[in-house]
Amino acid sequence: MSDHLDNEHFDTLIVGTGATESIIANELSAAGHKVLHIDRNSYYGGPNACFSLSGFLTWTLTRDFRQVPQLDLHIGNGLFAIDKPGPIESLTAQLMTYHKEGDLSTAQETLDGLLANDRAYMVEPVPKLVLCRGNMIDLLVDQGVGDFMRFRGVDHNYLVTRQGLERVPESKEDIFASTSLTLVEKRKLMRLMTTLGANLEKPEGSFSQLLAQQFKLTGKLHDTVLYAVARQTGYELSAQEGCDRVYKYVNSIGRYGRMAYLCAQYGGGSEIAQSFCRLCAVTGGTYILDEKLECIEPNEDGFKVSLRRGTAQVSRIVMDPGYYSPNSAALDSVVSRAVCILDNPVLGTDTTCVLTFLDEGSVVSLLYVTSATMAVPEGQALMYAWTEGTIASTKPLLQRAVGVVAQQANVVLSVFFEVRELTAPATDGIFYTSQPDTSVDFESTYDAAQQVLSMINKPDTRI
Amino acid sequence: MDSASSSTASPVPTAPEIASTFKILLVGDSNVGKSSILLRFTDDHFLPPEDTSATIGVDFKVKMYDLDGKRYKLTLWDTAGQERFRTLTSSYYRGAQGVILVYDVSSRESFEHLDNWVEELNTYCSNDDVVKMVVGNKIDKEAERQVSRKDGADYARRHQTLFLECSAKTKIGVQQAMEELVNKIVETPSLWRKQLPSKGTVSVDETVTSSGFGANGCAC
Ligand SMILES: Nc1nc2c(ncn2[C@@H]2O[C@H](COP(=O)(O)OP(=O)(O)O)[C@@H](O)[C@H]2O)c(=O)[nH]1
Ligand SMILES: [Mg+2]
Repeated sequence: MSDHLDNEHFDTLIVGTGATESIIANELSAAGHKVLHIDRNSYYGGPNACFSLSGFLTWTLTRDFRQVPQLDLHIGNGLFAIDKPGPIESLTAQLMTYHKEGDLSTAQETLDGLLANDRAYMVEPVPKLVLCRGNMIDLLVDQGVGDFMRFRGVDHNYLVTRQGLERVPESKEDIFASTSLTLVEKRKLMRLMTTLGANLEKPEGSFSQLLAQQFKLTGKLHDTVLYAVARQTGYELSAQEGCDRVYKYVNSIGRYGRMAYLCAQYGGGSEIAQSFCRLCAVTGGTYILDEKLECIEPNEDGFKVSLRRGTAQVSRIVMDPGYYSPNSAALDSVVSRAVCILDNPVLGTDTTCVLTFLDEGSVVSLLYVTSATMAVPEGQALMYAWTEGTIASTKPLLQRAVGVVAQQANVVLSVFFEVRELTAPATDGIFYTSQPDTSVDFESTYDAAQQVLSMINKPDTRI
Repeated sequence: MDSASSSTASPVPTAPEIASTFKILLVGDSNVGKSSILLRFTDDHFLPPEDTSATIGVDFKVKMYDLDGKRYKLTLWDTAGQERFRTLTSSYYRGAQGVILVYDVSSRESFEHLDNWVEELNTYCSNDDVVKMVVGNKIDKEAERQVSRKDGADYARRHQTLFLECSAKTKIGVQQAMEELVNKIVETPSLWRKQLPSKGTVSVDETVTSSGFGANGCAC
C-alpha cells in the first residue's frame, strides 16, 4: 500500500485527533464508514495531547496563537513571555530569548536539570478525569479500552480557601468521621446525599437556592456541595443541573477506588484519543498525522480534499473547529490555565487530588498529580489550575490558588496561558466538534461526540 | 468440574496456571507480511494474497505458550494498518516485552526502513530491556531476493537484536522466531516481574460493588 492518497474515496474525513473526534471516528468506522482521520500535529490527541516536558515546552512555541495568544513561562524567579512562535531546534536557548525579568542563568540551570528527566513528565495542557459512573467510563469498558488503560482512583477532593485546605467528605464514613462538621451539619449532609443520590427531585430555581432553602445548607457546607461536588464554575447551575451532578457524583463514589473520579496514567485525554484511533484503524480507518488540509472543494459527491500526501474524495467532514479558517474564528469563551511543577509532593507522594479554590467569588479548579500516574519524576508533583477569564485578569488568582495548595513546596516551573474556545459556523456537509471545556471530567467530551454523531445519523443530513 | 470427577483415580489434566502475560508487537513497513506472520503463528493459516482485507479487524491475537512446565499467555499485536503513514500510537508500544521488526527479503526498501522503526521503538518503548528481533520474511521468494541473509544478520548484530528469516507462506521459520523471542523474554525477568499493577491502580474491566451512598439504598 502506498504512502500516498490518489483520490481514494472515504465516507468521512475526520480532522483532528482530540478525544471527541477520536470517539466519533471509532463509532463511524464501527458502523461501516470508511474513515480517513488526519491531524496537523505529529502526535495524537489535539487539544487533549499529553507531552514530555520538552514536548510541552515545544508546544508553547508552536501552539495555535489564535487560540492561545498569551503564555507566560516562569522558571524560578525568571519570567519568559512567549508571545510569538519560535524555532524549536535548540529549545532551551530559544526559550531564553523570551526573557522578561528575573535571573536568567539560574533559570537555565533549573530548566536543564528538569529536562535531564524529560520523559518522566507527562504534561497535559487540558487535564481531565474520568467519572467512575458515567458515559465515558461505560464507553471505555464497552469498547474494551478499559482493559488497556491504567487508572488510579482519585484519592481526595478538597475545598480550598485562603485559610487552607479542607477535605470534602466522600463517603458516609467520611461524613461521620469528619472533625470539621458539627453533628447538625453531618445530618444535613447525609440527608442531601441520600436524597439527591436517589435522584428524586425535579425542582425549580437555582441549585444554590435549593441547597439553602430545602436542605438548609449555609456557609462552608453550602459551598462544598455547590463548588466541590456539583462543580459550579462560570454560570449559576439550575436546581435540576445541580441535582443531576450531585447524583452522578454520589453514584460514582466507591465504584472503583474510594472517590468519584479516576485519573488515567500517561494522560487520560491522550490515551483515550489514541485508544479510539487504534480501534478505528482496526476496523479499517486510515490515519495520517503531521498532515496539512490544503484545500476543500465541495462537489456533487461531497468534497474533494487536497492534502500534502495526496487527494481524497470524501462524502462528509467532521472537524475540530481549531482547524477552521485561520483569521476569523469567533471567540466564544476564555479559560486561563496554569501548569506547575512542584519540587515536593505536598499532598502525598502517590496521591491524586481534585481541588476547588474559592476566593472572593471566583472559582478555580485544581488537579494535583504525582509519579503515581506517571505525571512527574518521583519526589515532585504536578499541579494544574484553571478558571474562566483572561490571563490578564486571572493570573494573580491562579497564582494565589497554587500558592495556597503548594504550601511549603516550591513551584520550580510554571506555565500560565489563556485558551480561547474556537467555534465555527455550521456548513452543509461539515460537522464541527467542540473543544474541551472547563469541566473536570470527560462527560462533556462524550456528550460533544454524541452530539455530532446524532447530527450525522439524522435521516435528513446528506450522506 | 464437579467434586466427583476430581476424586477419581485418574488425575484430571488441569491447564497450568498462567505464569505471565507477554505483549509482543509486530512493526515494519506495510506489505512486508506482519499480519501474515501473526496469522501463521496463531492460526497456522496463510491468507491468499488477493484476500488482503481479511486482516482488517485484527486488534491482537492471543496464543498460549508452554515452556518448562510454565504457561505463558502471548498477546500478539498487529499494527492495524497504522504503519502505512507511520502513525502507530505511543500506547501501542507501551508495556511491550517483545518486538518483532519485520522486513521483506524481496524489498530492499523495507530493509532500509528498519532504521526508522528502530528509532520509533527506542522513543516509545518504556522498558530498555524489551527483546527485539529482526525478521526477514518471504524467503520463499528466493528468486526475487534483494536482501542477503548476511545483510540481515549484520544489521541485527549491530543493533543487538535476535535475527531470523522466515516465510509466512511456507511457514518456515515462523514458529522458531516466536520461540526464540519468547525464550529470551522468559530469560529476562526484569521485563515482566514488575508488571504487576502497582499499588493503587484500578482496572475498570471488573465492576466493583458500591460502598458509597448509592441510589440503591444505604440511606441512614
Ligand atoms: N510470497 C510470500 N508472500 C507473503 C508472505 N507473507 C506475506 N505475503 C504476502 O504479502 C502481502 C502483504 O502481507 P501482509 O501480511 O498483509 O503484510 P503487512 O502489511 O505487513 O501486514 C500479502 O499479499 C501476503 O499474501 C510470504 O512469506 N511469502
Ligand atoms: Mg497488516
